[in-house]
Amino acid sequence: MQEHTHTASPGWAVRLLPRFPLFVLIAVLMLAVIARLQQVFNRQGVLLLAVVDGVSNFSAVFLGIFIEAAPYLLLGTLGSGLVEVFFSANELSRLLPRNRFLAVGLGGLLGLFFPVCECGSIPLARRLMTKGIPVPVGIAFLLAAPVINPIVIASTFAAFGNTPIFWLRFAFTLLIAVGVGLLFMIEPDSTRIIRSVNVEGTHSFHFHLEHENQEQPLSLKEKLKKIMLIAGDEFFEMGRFLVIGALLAALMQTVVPQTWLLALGQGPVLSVIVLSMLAMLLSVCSTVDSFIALAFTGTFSTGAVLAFLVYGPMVDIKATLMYLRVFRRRTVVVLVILPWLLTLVSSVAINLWMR
Amino acid sequence: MTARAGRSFQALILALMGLYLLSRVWNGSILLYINQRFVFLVFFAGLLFVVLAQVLYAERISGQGDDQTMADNPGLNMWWLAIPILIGFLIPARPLSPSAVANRGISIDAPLSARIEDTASILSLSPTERTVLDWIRLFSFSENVQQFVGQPVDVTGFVFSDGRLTANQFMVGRFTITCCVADATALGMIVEYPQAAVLKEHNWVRVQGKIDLIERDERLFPVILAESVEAVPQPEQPYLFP
Repeated sequence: MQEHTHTASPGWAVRLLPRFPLFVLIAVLMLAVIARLQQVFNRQGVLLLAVVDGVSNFSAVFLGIFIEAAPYLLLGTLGSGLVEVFFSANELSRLLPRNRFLAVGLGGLLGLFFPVCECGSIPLARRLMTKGIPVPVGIAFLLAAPVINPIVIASTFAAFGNTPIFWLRFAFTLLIAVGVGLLFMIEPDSTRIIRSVNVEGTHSFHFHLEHENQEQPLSLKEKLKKIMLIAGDEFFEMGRFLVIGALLAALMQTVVPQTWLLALGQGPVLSVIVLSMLAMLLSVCSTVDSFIALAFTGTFSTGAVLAFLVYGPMVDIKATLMYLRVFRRRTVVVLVILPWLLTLVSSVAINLWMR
Repeated sequence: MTARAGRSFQALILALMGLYLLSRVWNGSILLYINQRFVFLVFFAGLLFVVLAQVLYAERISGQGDDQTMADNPGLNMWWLAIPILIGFLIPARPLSPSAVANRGISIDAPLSARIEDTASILSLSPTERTVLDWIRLFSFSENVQQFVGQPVDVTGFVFSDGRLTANQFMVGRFTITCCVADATALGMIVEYPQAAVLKEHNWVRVQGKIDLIERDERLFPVILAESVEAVPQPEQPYLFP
C-alpha cells in the first residue's frame, strides 16, 4: 500500500490516516463484544453495566451523526458530479461578475442556490475551484454556504424568530466568509492553496473527462453514469473524514461532560471562547444547530450564542479533516484560525455593545 | 488491489450501507437515531446508495481502460466506510440510555424556540395525554399558568435525581431529539413523591397525579404531585420529537 510519495507532500494527518482503519475496526469488534456481554452476564455488575451503557451511547451518537450527515454528503458529491459533467470551465467563469470583489461577495451568497450543509459544501467547493472558479470565490462559498442557504435560514428563523441573533448570524457569516475569501486574493497561485487532485490520484477511477469531452459529446445516459461515478469516488474520499469526525464527536460526547465546559464559561470573552469551542467539538449539522444554541440562551451571553452559530458551521471536527484533504496544511490553519479570531472579535463586540 | 477489485469493494460497501439504512427505516429503529422528519431523506439516500452500488459494480470491467490502479488510492482508506456498517449491524441498536444525562445535563425549561409558540394544539389534547415535552412547552408559552393547577397528569419518563431537589422530589425526564441523537437534550418535570428516595435512578416510570406550581429563579414551573408512581418498561419510542 504505497501512498503519496511525491514532492507535494500531504499533511501529516492525511499521511497517518491510512494506518488507522484496521485498528479502529478491531476496536469496533471489541466494542460489539462488550455490548453483547450484557446479555451473557444478564445485567450483573455495576461497572460492566456502565461500560455497556457507554458503548451503546457512543454507538448511538456516532450512528446518529453519520446517518444524518451521509445523505447530505451524498447530495454534495452528486452536485459536484453534476457541475463536472454539465458545466465547462468557461461557462462557469462567465457566470461570475468581472469585478473580483463582487465575485467573492457573490461566492458568499452562492449557498442560496446550492442548499448544502458543511459536508456537502466541501466537495462542491473543490469541484468549483478545480473547474476554474477563482479560489477566493470558492473559499467564500465554502465558509458561507452551510449557513447562507434556504434550509438553514428557515430553521434559524423557526428557532429565533425576528431577533438580533437571527440577523446577526447571517451578517457575520457573510462578512467573515467574504473577508477570509478576499484574503486569499494575495496568493495568486492556486496550487499553493489547494492540494492538486490529480497528482494524488483521488480520481484514479475517473476517465479523463476533459479529453473525452473534446472528442465527442456524451449521451445523457453516459453523463448520468459519470455523475454517479464521481459521486461514488468522492463519497469514499470525503466519507472517511465524516466517519472519523463522527467517531471523535461521539467520543467527546460520551466521555467529556458538557456541564464541565458550560461551567467554565461566563463573562463576555470567556463565554464566547467556550461556546465556539463547543460548536467545534459537537459537530452538529448547521441545519439544526440553532435549536441547540437555544438551550444556551438562558445561561450564556448573546455574543457567545452567536459565536456558536457562526463558527460551528464553518469549522468543526469533520469539516477540518475534510479541509485537510482539499487544501494545503497552511491553508487549513488559516481557515480554522482566522474565522475563529473574526468570530471572537465580532461576538465580543456584540457582548460589550449590547450590555 | 486492482481497479476492478476496488470498484467491487466500493460497490459492496455502498450496497451494504444502503441496505443498512433501508432496513432501519423498514423496522422503524431509524427513529432511535434521528428525528422522524428526516426519515424520508434517509430512505432516499438508502435507495441512492443501492443504485450507486449497482452503477459502480457494472463499471468494474469497463473501468479497466483506466490505466491507473488502486495503488494511488490506498484501498485501506475504503475500510473507514465499513465502520458505520459494522457498528450498525454488530452493536445492538439501543436508544441513548438515561445515564447520558450525567454528561448532558437536564433542563426543566423548554429550549425549543425563542418565539412564543402556538399552544392551541397542546391545549386541545386532554391533560392526561400530554407528554413531558407538551407540559414544559405549555408552561413556557402560556400567559396564565395558574389555569393548569389541579389538572390531572399521566406521563412516562426516566427517573433522574438532581442535587438541587429535596428528598421528596425526583425528576421524570425524556430525551428530545431535534435532528439526531447528537443533539439529544433531556427535559424533566419535577415530581413531589414521598418515597422518591426508593426509586431507582434511570429506571422508567409512569407518574400519575396533579399539576401544581413551583417557583424557581423567579419563574413558575410545573410540579407533579404524584398519586402513583409505577415502574414500566422502556417505551418503544423513548425519545420525544419537538
